Amino acid sequence: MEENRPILSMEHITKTYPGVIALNNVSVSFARGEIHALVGENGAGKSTLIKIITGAVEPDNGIIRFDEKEFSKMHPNEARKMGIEAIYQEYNLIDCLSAAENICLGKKMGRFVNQQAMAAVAKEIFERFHINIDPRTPVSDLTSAKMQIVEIAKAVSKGARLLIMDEPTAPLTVSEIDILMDIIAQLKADGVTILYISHRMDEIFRIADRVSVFRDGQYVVTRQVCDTNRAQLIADMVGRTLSESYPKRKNAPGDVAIELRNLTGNGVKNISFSARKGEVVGLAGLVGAGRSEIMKVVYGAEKKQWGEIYINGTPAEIRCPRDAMKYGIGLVPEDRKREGCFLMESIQWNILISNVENISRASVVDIGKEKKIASEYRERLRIRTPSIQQKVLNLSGGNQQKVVIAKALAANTDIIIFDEPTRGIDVGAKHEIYELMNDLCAEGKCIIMVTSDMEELLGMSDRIVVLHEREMSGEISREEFSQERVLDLASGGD
Amino acid sequence: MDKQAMGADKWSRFFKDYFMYVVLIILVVFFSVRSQNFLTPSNLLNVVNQSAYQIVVGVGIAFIMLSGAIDLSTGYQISTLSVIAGVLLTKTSIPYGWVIAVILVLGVLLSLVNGVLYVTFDTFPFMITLATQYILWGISFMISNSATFTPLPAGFKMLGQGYIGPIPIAILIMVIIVIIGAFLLNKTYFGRYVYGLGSNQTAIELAGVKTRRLKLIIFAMAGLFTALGTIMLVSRSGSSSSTMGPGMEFTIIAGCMLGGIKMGGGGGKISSVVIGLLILTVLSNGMQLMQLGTYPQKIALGIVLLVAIGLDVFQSKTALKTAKKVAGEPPAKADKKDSTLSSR
Ligand SMILES: Nc1ncnc2c1ncn2[C@@H]1O[C@H](COP(=O)(O)OP(=O)(O)OP(=O)(O)O)[C@@H](O)[C@H]1O
Ligand SMILES: [Mg+2]
Repeated sequence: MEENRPILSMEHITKTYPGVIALNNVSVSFARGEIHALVGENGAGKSTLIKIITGAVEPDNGIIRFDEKEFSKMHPNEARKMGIEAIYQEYNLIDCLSAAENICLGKKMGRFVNQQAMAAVAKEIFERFHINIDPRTPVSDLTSAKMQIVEIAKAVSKGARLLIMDEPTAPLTVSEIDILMDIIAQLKADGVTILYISHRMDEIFRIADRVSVFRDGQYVVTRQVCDTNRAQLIADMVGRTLSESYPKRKNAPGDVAIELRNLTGNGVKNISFSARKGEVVGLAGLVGAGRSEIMKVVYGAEKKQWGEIYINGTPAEIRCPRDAMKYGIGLVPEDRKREGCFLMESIQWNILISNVENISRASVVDIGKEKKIASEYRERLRIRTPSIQQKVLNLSGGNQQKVVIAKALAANTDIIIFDEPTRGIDVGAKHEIYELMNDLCAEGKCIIMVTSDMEELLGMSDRIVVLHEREMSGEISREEFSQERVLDLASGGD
Repeated sequence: MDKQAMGADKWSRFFKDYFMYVVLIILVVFFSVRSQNFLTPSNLLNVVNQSAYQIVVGVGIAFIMLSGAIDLSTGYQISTLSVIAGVLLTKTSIPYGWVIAVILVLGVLLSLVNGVLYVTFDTFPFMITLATQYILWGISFMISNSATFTPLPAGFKMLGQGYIGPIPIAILIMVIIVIIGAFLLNKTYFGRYVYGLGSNQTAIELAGVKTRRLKLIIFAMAGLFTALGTIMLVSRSGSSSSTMGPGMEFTIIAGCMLGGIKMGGGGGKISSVVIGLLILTVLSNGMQLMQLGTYPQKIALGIVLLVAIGLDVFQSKTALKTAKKVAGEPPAKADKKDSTLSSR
């Protein structure tokens, strides 16, 4: 009997923020030992729900029942003691500490700091999951995928009984996702209950036992994964049926807009490819293959060692992002929290910051114009917020990402580098962004897209350039597109 | 929608925005009751007049702090500039108009030295400005030989002591500088960049802003305001010496923070500088009128600052709490963003 009782149930949970009902009378329960997925559009309330479970946020109303114990609100220490651990959507590692120190934070390991013991703990976990990270590396030197793995290791090392993962695969590529899926399977076999939030449908069908859908702060339904399908889940999420196919581009590619010749810098060597106006070139590779790194060189954020960049056929000297913008290059950076957002500033402020000089007259910002442009992007990208004066900090993860995209688009450049553009974005809004990219192409703009999402890569690109270990390993034309081909090149084959 | 929660939130926002105004009013009421000399037009004008030069310097410091930096050498910049002004005004026959121009240029240059070191070392300028402070300390006393320079030309003294109609010239200058500062910060894209630099340097660079140049401009501007403040101070006191200025940096930084200037983005206006420094001046003026001794005054000042920190932490607690709990045990960097007085 014990087995059938839920480990955790939430009853009539309500949580409001000024102008927003994040959760409205939500009741949902999670069975012992299951992998339970939570899905819903951006701002549906998923992250809020898990923050209530861990005690990071207090509900206005409702009951939390964990292991037959009742709480009107959870306290973080209590939650941790009972074995509730969470990996949040935003990183919570301390940059200047090493991987091992981060993992062992808050753990009792004797009276003094013992580097060796900590390294041993970290090493054991990394080995258990077959991951190659030096425990002594400072977190700031790790790639975002490895940071994510450190986060997971941190939660695992604390002996979690209920492990909550909020979009853990967002920064990962296919092979790392495989590693993560193995870790999750192992944890499940050890009897850990897992709450899993993701916008990637295939993952849910791959690992979850049950899935609960949220829409606009409301609980919609819980389904057995084996009894449902993608279309049904998406319909549950958005409240209507939605075509999931990639929108077709009608325009033909024009002249070459940007060409890299043996571009070398930021640890990446000899990258040569070109992209035409009205074309999407996908950049594929494993995490750490050097995709974002070389794009930073193109954008002038990192130093070029040698090689050339040609814009519209003439060599361009790009030494800083400002130069790149003058040449008409824009960037949607990979890491929204570190490189993309000004969390403490408003949505409107954020969207226009790259373009604020152009909407100024005699240095004075035209606030009216600013409001108008920001509102347009809010509509277009469906940024869910009561007001564009809202601080970006208060937005849900996916909505923050939309702000970062809007910021790059508002700069109105001819060549746009999208680095993981749809990270954390829900299915509906993703479609919107793909349409938007197509519109940009139709206007004759050139898009370079770095993405770890295989479907998106194959669905949106006209050509795919693949990197392997910081060098180029091949280029694939549309006719030869296949997941196998990409993975083959990405892992160094040819 | 939960009405009560909404109401509570509005309240806390109001509290946050106008908290220091309330503190100022409480202080004014308190001193009015304790001393009948306090609430007289001449004394109130005196209070504003006293803080005028501090506010002028404070506007520049606010730009530095909002951009995520700090300058500890302001006090000795004032000291050095004031003795140079003293020498030029009393030992040479250079017209005071030229002296003012020279001091303004020197002020920009002194602060630019800090700025250049800041962008060269590319580190939080705490140690840098601590070091330049010692250098200026030495220079100031070597120039002055601990002497006091007096008398100053009457025309020069007008700036700090003169009136246009019923209004002291110093207050007029202060108002003009406050308006310029607020205009730059709120209306121009330069102001956006200052806030952006403070809240996320990487992101502002990627947004196409040349941050090194921006930092230099900010320091140069602060230097200009510091020099102007120095001229007002010297002119007001009618003499100059090396002891004018040192310690001022803390008053001004404290005033800025008290008013709500945040380091690392997220807020603070020029009105914060005015309100913060007015509070400090009202406090010292009121205590003088109550005939508190110098040292008890210091103790009271310290206590008031501590109380202000406490209240500030308390009022930003809600925001803090969420951030902390999300981050778990480790005190993540972002945690303190909402607290003005305790940041960095
Ligand atoms: N601190 C806050 N202040 C104001 N509103 C907030 C705050 N935190 C969350 N919200 C709002 O609550 C709603 C739910 O947010 P939540 O983060 O739970 O969404 P989510 O389902 O996790 O979305 P995503 O898929 O984008 O991560 C959003 O509309 C968000 O704007
Ligand atoms: Mg979320």
